[in-house]
Amino acid sequence: MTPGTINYFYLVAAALVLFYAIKQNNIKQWILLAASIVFLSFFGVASVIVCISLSVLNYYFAKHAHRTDFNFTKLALINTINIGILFLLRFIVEIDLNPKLFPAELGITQKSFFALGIGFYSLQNIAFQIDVFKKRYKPDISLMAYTLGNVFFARLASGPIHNINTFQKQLVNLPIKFTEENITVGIQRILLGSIKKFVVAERLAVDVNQYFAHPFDLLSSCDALFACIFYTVELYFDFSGYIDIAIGSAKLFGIQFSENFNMPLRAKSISEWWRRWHITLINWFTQYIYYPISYRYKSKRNLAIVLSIGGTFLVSAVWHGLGLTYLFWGLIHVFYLVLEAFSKKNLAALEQKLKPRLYAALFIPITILLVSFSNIFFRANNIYEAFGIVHTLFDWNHFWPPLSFKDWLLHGERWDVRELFNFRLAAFVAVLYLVFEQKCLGIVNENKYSIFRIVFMLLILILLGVFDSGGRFLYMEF
Amino acid sequence: MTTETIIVELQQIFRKEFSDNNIVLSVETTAEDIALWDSLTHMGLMDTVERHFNTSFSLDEIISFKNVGDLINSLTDKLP
Repeated sequence: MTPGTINYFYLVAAALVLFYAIKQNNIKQWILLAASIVFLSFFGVASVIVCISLSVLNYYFAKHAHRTDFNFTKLALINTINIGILFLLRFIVEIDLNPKLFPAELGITQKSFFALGIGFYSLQNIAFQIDVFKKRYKPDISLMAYTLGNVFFARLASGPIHNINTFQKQLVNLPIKFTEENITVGIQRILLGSIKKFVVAERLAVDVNQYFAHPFDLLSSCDALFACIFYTVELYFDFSGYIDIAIGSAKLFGIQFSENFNMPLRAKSISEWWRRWHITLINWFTQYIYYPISYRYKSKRNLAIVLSIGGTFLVSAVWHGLGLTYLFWGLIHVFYLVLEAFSKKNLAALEQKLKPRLYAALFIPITILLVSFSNIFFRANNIYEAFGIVHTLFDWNHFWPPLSFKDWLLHGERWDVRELFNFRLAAFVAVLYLVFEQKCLGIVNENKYSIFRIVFMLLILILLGVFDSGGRFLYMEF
Repeated sequence: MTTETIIVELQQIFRKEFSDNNIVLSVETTAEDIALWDSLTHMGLMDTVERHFNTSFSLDEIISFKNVGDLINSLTDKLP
């Protein structure tokens, strides 16, 4: 069961009926918790045990430490446990299990250790401990509300990451009745997310997966270039689609999540990209990694910039995964951002010299290309394949494909009719959405009930969606 | 020190820090209003402010400043 699938919506519908049938606020919270545990149980016993036990451990640890003496040793201990379990489970799911320790008849495989959403709620647990340690707030939350903050099904799989304290305040004021705004905006955001995922991302994934499954069969620089650009677009539609479904689902229950994207494909620089992409994660890293490092070294200007960017993206890379590919991805972004920081005044002068539209026309494509290049390492199965694609990308002796331009553009020789239609449809909807993105977001967030609008979105989804992949989202592995 | 005195001195610091003599500060000025003022330059700017006024801010204080007005309020509390 993943967000956007039919079983997910059965669960949301059942939870909604119970949620609005009951008037008492605390019982409403129990309904959300029960629905979340049902959702989590679809991903295996490990997912349930790890999430619940880490929530209980962090809750009682912070309570106890706050009552007694929350010193740095205690903070280091609890966060070593949080980080240790995260890395241990990440490590186990990537290695072959020793058959002596785990004989086949036990039926325990690597997948048995998969804990859904651990990357996301671990960050929330770590932030909670730091905030209580720093006395930013008292841990006067209830155990149930704290656990719900971690396990809530609408955001469990891939965020958005939220502050437990902010979430708690919303739980106190859960709506008693359906409001038109909650139901209208909730359904519209869910439909928008489903269209992004099932009409665009799932269709683009067919091409992207082909490219990355055979990285050494890429014929030219153009092929490699399109592979990494398509992947960036696929990742955006996949992940932001998930986030739309998460925000819409929470909205149905009167809970407002933070936005996680702000039209990142319109960023004019890498730093702007990171202010628009996966906002809640980058806010977490900024508050708990970037600022403490830059504060520590603030008197040493350039060193502070290099260390804080380097530290932030090193942690971000390791959070995404333990492979070398993520490390290279992080290092590429460190390089981009340090370069940008040191040429900031020149870029600002250039922006003033050129007209804003010309500057945007120049730097938006450059930013997309730079991000897409880094995404080769983010997507490739291993570092060897990543460098294979990079090599093809810069093999400018074979820049153009060995086909006529028309054949290459249509990929007529490599794709069958179905694949060609698939690509054209995904590209058409993606471009249409990106051009009118601001307007689309304005419409779906508008509290204006329109049955025509909802039926129209539903028709696009049903007629053009691809539903045979099981609806697994790319960011669920984190 | 009065708010007016602080804002005049801050304006000089901002102009020098961002090499822009056109910067005009008010209590409502935010990072959105100054092109080069972002998370990359924020800590360096705060370091200059601390040195100039011979004071210091905690990390939480620096993160909590939403606009120039917050910075001035903090300085007013700290300065004699």
